[in-house]
Amino acid sequence: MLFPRKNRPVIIISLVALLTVVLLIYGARHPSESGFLRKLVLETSAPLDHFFRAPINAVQQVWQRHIFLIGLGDDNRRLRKENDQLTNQVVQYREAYYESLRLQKLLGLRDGLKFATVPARVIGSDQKSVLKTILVNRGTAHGLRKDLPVITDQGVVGRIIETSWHVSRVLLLTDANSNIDALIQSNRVQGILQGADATGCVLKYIPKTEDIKVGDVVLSSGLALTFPKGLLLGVVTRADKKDSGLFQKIDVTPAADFSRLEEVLVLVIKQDAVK
Amino acid sequence: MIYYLTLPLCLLLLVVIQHTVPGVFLLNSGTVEMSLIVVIYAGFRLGMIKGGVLTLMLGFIMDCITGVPSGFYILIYFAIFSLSFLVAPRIYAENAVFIILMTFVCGLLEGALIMVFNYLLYGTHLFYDIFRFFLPQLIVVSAISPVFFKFLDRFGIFYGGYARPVRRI
Repeated sequence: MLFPRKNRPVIIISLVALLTVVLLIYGARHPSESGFLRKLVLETSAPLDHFFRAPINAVQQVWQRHIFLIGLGDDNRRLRKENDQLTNQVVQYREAYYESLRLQKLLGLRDGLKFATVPARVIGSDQKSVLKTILVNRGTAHGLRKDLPVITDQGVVGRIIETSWHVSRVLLLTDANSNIDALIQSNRVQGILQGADATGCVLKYIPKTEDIKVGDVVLSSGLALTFPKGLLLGVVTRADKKDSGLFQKIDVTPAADFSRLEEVLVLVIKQDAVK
Repeated sequence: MIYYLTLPLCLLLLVVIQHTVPGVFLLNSGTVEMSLIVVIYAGFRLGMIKGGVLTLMLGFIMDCITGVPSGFYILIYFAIFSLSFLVAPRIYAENAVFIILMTFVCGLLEGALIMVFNYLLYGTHLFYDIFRFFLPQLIVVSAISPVFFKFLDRFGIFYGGYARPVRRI
């Protein structure tokens, strides 16, 4: 007998617990490696998730569209989408205007990043677990990989943290583990946009000497090279200088509406372009 | 053998269902973690090998579905399974009140471990989330646990009944 019979359960439990601790440490230190089994579970769960979610969503949509708001639902959705697109366009034009002013001074310095886009459909959403994520129906077979940015016509959604062959997991902007280099459009002050779950996001490391107003637009600064420069992240909803410390407390509402995500775009930035 | 062959698919179905269906009734404000009840059930009713394999598989599937590093839920569920397994022979494990209490205690343990692991792995605090989202879910899960135990008792007949008799008064 390898172990005394009386203590066998305790010894086996201790050994398995030790192995799982080792597995957890390994998993945490090598987050980029999605093993075959993980990919297989992700690949299998996506259609199952869609199978259960599709009828539920269909019933919810029927309820919302035809019983509550007969006729108004479609108009509202169209106008909302149009409004989002126009808002985004205005932000882009304003950004292009500021950029052109700066570029005139810098004599034609250009942002060399070039990227293609891959449209993807949202097939699953998990915003109640440890990580706030969504699943999209594109994976390594479509050229996607870890750390690629994901956007909608409203603004940035998040970045890919895990891929299998035909499914990818996107970490949402609002997750506490999401950190994006950001800048305020009007005065070019730079900080880090961190997810804050229910309250949206917070913009960190902005000194109290800077003048930040409610309604200021927050864009990606392109410093960390994951997100290209100038993508719309959100709008400042609160700027508080009363807290003790060196920095302001700034709340930001994300531009993208995560409760109504259906289709997204993945920006496939070439790795050599990033480096 | 049929147990080990069908187990992965059953557990995958369970995890997918618990992430999709309850959200509709709770207006997308939370999930009902039925997998926690299954783990406690495994500790009470199944043997070490059967229950242990079920727990490890369920933990792994939860890791994959939620996107956390492998080992996160495996370790949490294994701790809960071990606790239930070691406690079960010493108590009357068929009383509904006791099942509710045990589920609540194990849920609190799970919440505490999630908070600690999340801090160690990502450096983020989930303390307020635990109170805002986790505790209401835990109350719901605890309340339905005796019913779920009955369901699993019936379901277990397909796998040849209990591998481990429960203690009766």
